[in-house]
Amino acid sequence: MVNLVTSDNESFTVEKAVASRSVLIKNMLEDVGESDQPIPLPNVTASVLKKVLEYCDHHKNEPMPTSEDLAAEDTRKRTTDIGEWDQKFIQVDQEMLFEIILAANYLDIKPLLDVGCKTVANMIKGKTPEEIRKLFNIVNDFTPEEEAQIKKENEWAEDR
Amino acid sequence: MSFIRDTAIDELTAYIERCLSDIQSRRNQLVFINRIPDDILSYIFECAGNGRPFDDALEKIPQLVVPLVCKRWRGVALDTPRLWTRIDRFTEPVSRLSILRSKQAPLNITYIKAYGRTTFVQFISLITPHIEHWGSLSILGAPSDDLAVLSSCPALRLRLLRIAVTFPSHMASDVPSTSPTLFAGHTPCLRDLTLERFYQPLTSSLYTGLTALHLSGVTYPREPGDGSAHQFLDNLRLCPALRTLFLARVEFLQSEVVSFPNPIFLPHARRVILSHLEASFVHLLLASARFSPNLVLMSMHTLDVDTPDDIFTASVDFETNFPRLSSTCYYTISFGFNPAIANRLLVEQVYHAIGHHLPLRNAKLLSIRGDQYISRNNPNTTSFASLLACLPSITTITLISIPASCLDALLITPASHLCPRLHTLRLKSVDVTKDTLLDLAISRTSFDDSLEGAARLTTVTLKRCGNLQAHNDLRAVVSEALGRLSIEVVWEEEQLMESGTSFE
Repeated sequence: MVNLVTSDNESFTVEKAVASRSVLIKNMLEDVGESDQPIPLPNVTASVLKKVLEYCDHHKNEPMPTSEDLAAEDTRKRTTDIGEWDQKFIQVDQEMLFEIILAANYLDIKPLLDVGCKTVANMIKGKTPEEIRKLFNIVNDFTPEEEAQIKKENEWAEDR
Repeated sequence: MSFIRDTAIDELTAYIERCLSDIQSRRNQLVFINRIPDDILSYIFECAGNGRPFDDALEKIPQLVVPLVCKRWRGVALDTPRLWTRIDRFTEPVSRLSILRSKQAPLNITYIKAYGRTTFVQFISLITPHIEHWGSLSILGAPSDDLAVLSSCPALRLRLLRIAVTFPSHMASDVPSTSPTLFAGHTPCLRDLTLERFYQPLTSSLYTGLTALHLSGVTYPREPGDGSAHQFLDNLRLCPALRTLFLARVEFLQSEVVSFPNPIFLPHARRVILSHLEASFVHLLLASARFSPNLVLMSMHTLDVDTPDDIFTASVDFETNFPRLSSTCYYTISFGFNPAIANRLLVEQVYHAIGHHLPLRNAKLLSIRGDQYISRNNPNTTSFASLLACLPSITTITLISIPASCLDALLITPASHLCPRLHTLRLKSVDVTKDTLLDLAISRTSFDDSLEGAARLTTVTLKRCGNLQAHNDLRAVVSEALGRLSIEVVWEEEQLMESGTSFE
């Protein structure tokens, strides 16, 4: 078992197979060898780690992506397909969604990072800029001068 | 004076707009999505920009929408070359902008005639000057002759090429001389090649160094050194990292087996599908290739099999060429014959050959699906027994559409105890009678159990088994009689309703 301590000082004891879905933790465990020392995770809160561990537990028996897999994926087109369980898992509010993405990035859990990023990508697809701004609470920060310039660029692009 | 005043007002307005813009940019930094670093936002944009758009209106294409959301998004989008590498019917109107912003990233180009607003030649002319940046090219439905525009320049970074032409014009005898040789035969990075109804000479370097090869509907003509099966195998030898091989309706007009080439090692092969190929070519391939233990799918559908020797010959050593087979537990053998040419003798021979050639010793589950057109008397009991004799480890047999007389092979006699570990028998569309089933049940439960590891029959599953299943009275009699022998009888329809499980 592995003991993980979050930024808000909460402790989680989990199976090694679950914790090792995180490449960061896996490398730590390999570096320090067998130890009872808790592993501090200063960039992850308890509520987020709980969710991340739920994902890791569900996928603990799947093969870890190899460097060959990652290289192959890098040459393929990115897509936004997400598995059924993962889709349900990631149905959370926006704050939690982006916290999960940040945690997956920090903990180096590539498949979870993919699920998060693809979910956001699906939220973007098929929307106008204004609809996206509204969805993510973003304001238009272009000056009128910049907007005119962008419009001109796009007109040139479409002028074939 | 008024000019100076207007200028001052304009400058002041611009200054205020810039200040307001700065404030809005800082506000944007606080929203959840903008807490994530640039590299992840960039990855999200890439994902959004690929696949079929939810809405193909130009003003909703992610490549054009994302840079208009806010300054940060624009900066990240313009600094994500892979967002701009997609050139297809959705992004075609802005392909000039895409090429510019893709910088040096490999372009992914797709042309599908059915959707195209332009001809292939018009479509490709804009991007041909950037051929050195092509990463993938998929062409569906362009006329073969139009591809001549791709013949002169090498595609040095092309990794994936998929071509399906409109007409199988390559099959005409005059085509080899008119089919363009693509990219001057120079594609050093090509790894994934699909050619449907589009001929390229086998001497082309397109066929070397591949990890995936799909050929469909291609006839390799009688050109010296150009179309032989041996040339094809030589090409495979130059693809040691091949993972997928798909050949369907591919003809080699010089495929007469004169000699077997040296072994071709394909240690990474995972999927091999051979469909509608001449038996002589399949034979040649199976005799030459050494597949990986990781081969997960092997599917064969051959043409013109006159004798099992066309496939199962002494020169094909299945244990050596398919190392995974000997550890396989579950086999499905399915016979699908054209009723017009069904040859009973051939069926008998195939049963013998399967048992003789395939390493079935460790198989635990076997499913055999016969053919409704010829199953009335095929296979005969002797042929079936010869197959069962090769299955010493089998525990479960599923028989579908085969003659009930075959069950006689499972009767235990002083001279025969085939499949000694058999405990489950599943029959579907087998016209078995009550007496035959009872004889078999008694035989498989009341034998001398001195044979080590021998199992008694414990489960019989029946589905659509003729008269037996049609009459409730008969069902009850069979269930009771087999029950007395401690055999559970499962009538498949009942099981379906109760558990939702299916026979197959």
